[in-house]
Amino acid sequence: MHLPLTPRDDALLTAKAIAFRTLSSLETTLFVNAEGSEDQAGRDTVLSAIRGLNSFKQLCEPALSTPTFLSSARDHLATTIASACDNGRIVSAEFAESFVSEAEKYISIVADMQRWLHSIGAFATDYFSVQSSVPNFTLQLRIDPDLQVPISGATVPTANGREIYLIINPSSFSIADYFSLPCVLSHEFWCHVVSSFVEGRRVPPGNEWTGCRPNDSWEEGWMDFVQGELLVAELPTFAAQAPAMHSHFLRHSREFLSKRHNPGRSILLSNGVAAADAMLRVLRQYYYKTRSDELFLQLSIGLNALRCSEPCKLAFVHFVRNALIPKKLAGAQSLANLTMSRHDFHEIIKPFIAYQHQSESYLVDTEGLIMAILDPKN
Amino acid sequence: MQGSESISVVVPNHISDRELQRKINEIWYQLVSDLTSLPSSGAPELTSSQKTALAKENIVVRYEGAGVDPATIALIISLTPVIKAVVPLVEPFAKDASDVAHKIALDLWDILRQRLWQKEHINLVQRES
Repeated sequence: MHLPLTPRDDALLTAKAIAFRTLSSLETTLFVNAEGSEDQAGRDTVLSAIRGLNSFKQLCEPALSTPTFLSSARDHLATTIASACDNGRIVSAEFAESFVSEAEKYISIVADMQRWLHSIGAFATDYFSVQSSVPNFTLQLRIDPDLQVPISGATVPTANGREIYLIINPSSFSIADYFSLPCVLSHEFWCHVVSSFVEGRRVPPGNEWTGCRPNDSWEEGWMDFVQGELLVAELPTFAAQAPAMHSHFLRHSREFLSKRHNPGRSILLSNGVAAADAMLRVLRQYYYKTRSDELFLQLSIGLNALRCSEPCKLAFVHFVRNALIPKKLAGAQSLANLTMSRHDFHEIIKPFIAYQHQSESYLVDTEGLIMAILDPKN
Repeated sequence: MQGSESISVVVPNHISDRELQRKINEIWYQLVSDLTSLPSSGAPELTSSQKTALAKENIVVRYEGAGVDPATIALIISLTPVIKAVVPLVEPFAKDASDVAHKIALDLWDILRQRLWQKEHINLVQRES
């Protein structure tokens, strides 16, 4: 069960975030030399010291303010690193100095995550012509010491829109988890906040979005692929304030997505990802990359926004997957080389056209989009 | 007045809300067919038309929230349609028909939950609030 963040949790997670950022900005300087050798053990020692902040927190007075806690955490890390590393004194001094500099810029983990979500939301407005109809969204950071995974997300409906919960298990929160947090936020936003809010004609009033199955092949699968593509493409802009961190966010986001999309976790979810991937590849055979990617995004975001009956979207995923991914790949045939006739393509998007005809309002000109897909001369 | 009742349960593995809703309503239909009178209502035996009307009501199952980790979301089972259908059946015999209907719906849900376990081996665990 997740709980609101206490000031103490906030202080610990903020200290860890600052420490992870400090290590990331210093790892090349401290643990790689010009001859090409690297000191992985030294890096592990610093990570181990950061993990030790969990128990350090228990020793501190509960009423300690965040700035005082951060200062104590810096001293604790410096002492631990100095005694554990071979070149401990040098590493410790550099780390402590950079920690202070990073702490001056970094307000708190809550503010950091609010900024990420704001960037994602601001970017998203480009895709919605009717901005006022996009559900309101808010963010709450939560902690759950019993959470099976170090980080997780959830989106719930509220009277005014949707509320995103970013849930962290503080004791297992690692460097990879910190740099994957934007991916969780991006997932919650694209997959669940902007889903099913444009009413379809055949959907009875009051049939609001309430959530979805944890392994839903549309919201958790197809749309997760979409948000991953968007995030990876836009990370340099989102992380513009900290360009040194960009590669870390990128690498860990990709790893996070790759783990999520493993069929070992969910076959349904993985099918959704595979179908979206295949659709994008096929579109790229018809158009230049920018055009095909834009069409794919419009198609995905438009369908995601439409409130049609849930099985329609799942049927669409199933249909695309069966049409585009052969059960057995013959010889040298691969997904990238898969070609299809105009008729086949029309068959694939026919259900989508049908859904759109149920809708009275459009976020994007989806009919125009379909025509564009069917007529490559456009 | 308690005209609505929603039960929050832990999201079960290997079954979607729709499939669960279908199974629950199949059992609900059978349960109503087996009823002779409403439990603990003091009302007389149900007529066949009353049973037909009651059996038509669907128990609604839906997710509350979206999250890859099932522990972070809930499955909501709404007994509101049942309560609304029971109210007119107990009105002639009960002072506070809505309250009585609410208790009856919960009693019926208990029976249904047991049958769901016996027939389908689906154990719905109530979520901590």
